[in-house]
Amino acid sequence: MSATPGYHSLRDTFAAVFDNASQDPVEHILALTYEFDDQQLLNLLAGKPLDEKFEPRSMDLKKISALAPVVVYDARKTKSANMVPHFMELLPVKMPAYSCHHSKAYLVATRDHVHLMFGSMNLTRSGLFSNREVFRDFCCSATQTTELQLVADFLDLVSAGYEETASMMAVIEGVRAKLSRWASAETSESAQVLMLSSGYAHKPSGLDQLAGLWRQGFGDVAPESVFVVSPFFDRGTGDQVLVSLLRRALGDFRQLRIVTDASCLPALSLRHFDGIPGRLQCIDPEIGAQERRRIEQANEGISAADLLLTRKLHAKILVLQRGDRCLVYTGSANFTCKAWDGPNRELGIAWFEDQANRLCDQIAVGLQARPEDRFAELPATPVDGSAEDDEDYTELAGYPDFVDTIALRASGADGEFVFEVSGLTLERLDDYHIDWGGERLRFANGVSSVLKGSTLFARLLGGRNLLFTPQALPAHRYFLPFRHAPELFAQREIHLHPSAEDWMLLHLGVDGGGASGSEEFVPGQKQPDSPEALRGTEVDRDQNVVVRMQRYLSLFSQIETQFHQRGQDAATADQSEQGSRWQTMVASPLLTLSAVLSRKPSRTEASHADERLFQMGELVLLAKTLEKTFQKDSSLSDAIAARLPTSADSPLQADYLHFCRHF
Amino acid sequence: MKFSEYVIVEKPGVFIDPLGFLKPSRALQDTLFRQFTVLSNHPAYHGVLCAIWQSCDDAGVRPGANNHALFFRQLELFWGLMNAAQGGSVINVNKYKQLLAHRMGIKRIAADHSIFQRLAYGTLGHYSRPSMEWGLLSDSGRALVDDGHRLAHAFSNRSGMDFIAEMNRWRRGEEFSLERLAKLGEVFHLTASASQVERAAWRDILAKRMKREPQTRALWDAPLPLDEMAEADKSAAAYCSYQAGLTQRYGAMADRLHVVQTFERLSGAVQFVFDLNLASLQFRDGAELQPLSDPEDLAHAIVELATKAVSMGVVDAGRLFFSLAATRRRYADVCDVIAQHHWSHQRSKGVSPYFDATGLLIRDKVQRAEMGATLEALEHAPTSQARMDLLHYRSRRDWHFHRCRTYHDWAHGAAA
Repeated sequence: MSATPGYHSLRDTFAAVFDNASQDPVEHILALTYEFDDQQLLNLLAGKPLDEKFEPRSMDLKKISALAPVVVYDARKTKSANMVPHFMELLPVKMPAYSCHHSKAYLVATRDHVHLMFGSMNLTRSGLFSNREVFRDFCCSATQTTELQLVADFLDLVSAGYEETASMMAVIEGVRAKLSRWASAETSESAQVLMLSSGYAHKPSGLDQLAGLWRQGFGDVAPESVFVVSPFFDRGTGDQVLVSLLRRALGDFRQLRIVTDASCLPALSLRHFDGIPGRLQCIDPEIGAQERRRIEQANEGISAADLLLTRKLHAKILVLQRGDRCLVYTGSANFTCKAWDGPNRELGIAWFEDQANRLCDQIAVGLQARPEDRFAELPATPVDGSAEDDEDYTELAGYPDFVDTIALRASGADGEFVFEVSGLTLERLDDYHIDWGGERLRFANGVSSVLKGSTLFARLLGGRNLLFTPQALPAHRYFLPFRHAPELFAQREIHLHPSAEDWMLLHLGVDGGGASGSEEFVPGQKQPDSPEALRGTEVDRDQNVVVRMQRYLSLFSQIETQFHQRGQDAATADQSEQGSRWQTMVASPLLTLSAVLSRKPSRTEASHADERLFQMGELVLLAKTLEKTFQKDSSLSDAIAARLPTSADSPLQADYLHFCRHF
Repeated sequence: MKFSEYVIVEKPGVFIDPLGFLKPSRALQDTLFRQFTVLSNHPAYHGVLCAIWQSCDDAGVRPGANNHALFFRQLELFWGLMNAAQGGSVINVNKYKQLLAHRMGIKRIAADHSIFQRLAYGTLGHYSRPSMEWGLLSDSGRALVDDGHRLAHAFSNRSGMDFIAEMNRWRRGEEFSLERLAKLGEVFHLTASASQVERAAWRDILAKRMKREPQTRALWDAPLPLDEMAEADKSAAAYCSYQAGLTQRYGAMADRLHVVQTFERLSGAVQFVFDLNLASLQFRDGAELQPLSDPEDLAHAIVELATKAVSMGVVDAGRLFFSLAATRRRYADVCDVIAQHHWSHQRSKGVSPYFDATGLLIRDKVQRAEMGATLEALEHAPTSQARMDLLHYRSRRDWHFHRCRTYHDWAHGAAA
């Protein structure tokens, strides 16, 4: 049995997961949602408070890229999303007509814990901060094993229900490994909370799963009454309403009680009660004085006096009751046939509880439903039978649904890129203007015109979608996300560094981040320097060759010191770990730097060829020195030296190349 | 099952800074009220901070020791739970509410509870620096000084109860019932009345501060009435008239106030030009925004004000004002200077600019409705001055006058 429902800030609930990241680092993030707002998604991925107006620095983008988080959402809800970073896995789910990917679940795995949250909230501002939502969060660890099975069931669903990309597999396998470590005969417990899905091809419908659970707990008897919280209902004009399906699946129950927003009243009718006695309670749109006071307290005393606070009901709860015991469901499913017995993908959890009447009353009061029964006001059929469900499928004129996937991939060896579209009737691409950022793309056989590498660097944040504008319907604009080709994704670290200096700044920790804009100060603790102060005035650094090289050498000498320290750390690690530490802490990063240095310079950098030769040469010398100092073979310096030019333009260059190769 | 609580996202002092005005505006805030930050909201926190420091001292836990911030939080928990039990609101109140139980004690709270995770988010992190400025902590922030000891004891003794003594019992592991905490909370919650002794301590603290900075005395002798500040917030005309009134009211501070106002006015106009450029890139497809009426007049006003700002020595944001003062009085040139400044500022922070020469890079940083309303209002403004007034009002900042009033009333009683 769960405790009395209380009010909890979703911002704080997420923040609690990330607050301890310095001691318990985040390893995996997987989010299932119907839609998302880019700022909230970005904050989640970067471990920032979800309401912060956060501007990610290069270090944040690099951390997100290393994490390779996965976000699954409904393809039709793709927005312009210009705060979404590259090199995370965006998996839009393309659903059949008149259905949507409605599941909502958030998994964050840290080194020592797995946090999993189910509920009615999307990863949007309204879903996280203002709507009336309902949720449950679970935490598993070596010592908290009650819900291991729930997490395992979730992973099974994800594994069977979605595309198994490398990033997705990394999440699934990483979390499964933790679960298997934590599971033991002594700690195995019967599941308290059960997962309930709908619309996944390998599973029965949500209605059938619900009926199965009911029979597990109550046998073949029917519920006596059903309690529903939902913001959306069947239109009531067709053949079916969910109540009749429920009665068919569970047996004839005698009473239906519904709690919904007052604004939903025109969409309801006696049809929705299928002839059984009912009770209907509505939630006023205005926030009462008592709730306003509670909100102010929960927000640490910020005055809400001058703020227009509105809350839309978005919670979905179903309670099947017999006697004092009940089966409770909460999750993404509205009280509609489409959600429970149709093509929508839905996800939620269910559990058994006692004191059913008390629970239903607590829910109604907690959601601020007025006590008056409005059942008698209902007409025989809905007043507004055409009322749109705002989570419903809507016809999108000119939507490019012939496009299956779009991939961004490297083109040739010169650091250029193309988009590649797959689909059945690619000639239809000609019917659209297709833009990426401000750039108009031309397609031939599904492959776009070639893009310079510098355009990718300019859009490491944002630029995750292509804009399709039907030429015949120029007022309609559709954003379609692209994916990175696997080989590009695997090489992503190289693409996160526009220049060797940026690579060095990142590895020197100069781009550190910390609480952005914070005035917090704890006596005795070192305050992080501002990034501006640490990076220095770099604005004009590329303008003068002497200044440029001085700055480069200054940074490189710090890199030399740091990598000697890294080599030392690797050499003093446990014998079994020395090889892997050398590889991850020394060899792999330096190889990335050599790849960054060997990338074809942009047009503005064309005159820097001499400098690049010198920079690569110095890197070879550093690698050789490290290998000698820590008694390693020459594989690292050989790999870097292979990137040196094969011929010299002058005797001086020839001497220098010879020196580097034979040092 | 949990219901989601409403999260107020419209928090004061939280904004993005694409042109680097945050740092100079903080420097200017310091010329008026160095004792405040955007996080210092109630004087009672200083009393709590000093009382907890006193208890740390009593326990021999010194600042700089690894566990000082954690130890401080363990004691702050006592006050937080007291506020939560009483129904009050303090920093971290939601975490305190989660911990409320029939019986509470320091040993009952798990060491890995989230309340022990962000130690800078709380009284210590938010009020240490302001307490240093008030002369309650030493200059390094590592020791309670005489006035801090005095305030600790003054806060601690209310209605025959001793907060520090109760907290020391908590520290030693004694358990408290919910009722006992709620009863203590009635006397010591954040907004409970200060004792006469505590008010007297605050008056002395204020007097010493004014002695150190006699120029600021006028601000504290006659803090602004709350209704005047509320009235000023209602329109551009009211705000600019209020600003003009400030320099008359506080003659000794007139020079500093002129600098503050010039910065606020100039940065407001520059911010608008930046936002308008952004809007024109973002909304160029579809229904376009109405054009800015007489842009050359605005450019003229900006360059003129920038010239004045440079001559007054107004704190600059990366030589932006200097560059504007040196540019031609043409709108296109002003836009160019602002864009160049934005690029270098964002690069120096290591973040993406909002736009570059190829176009918009980050969308949704400007709201169409707000920009449309501003353009409409500018269209109807009768004079160049009135247009600048509108832009000044649009970007008004918090200069801490409200905090001054709150702290003053705390020391003197609200009726003073």
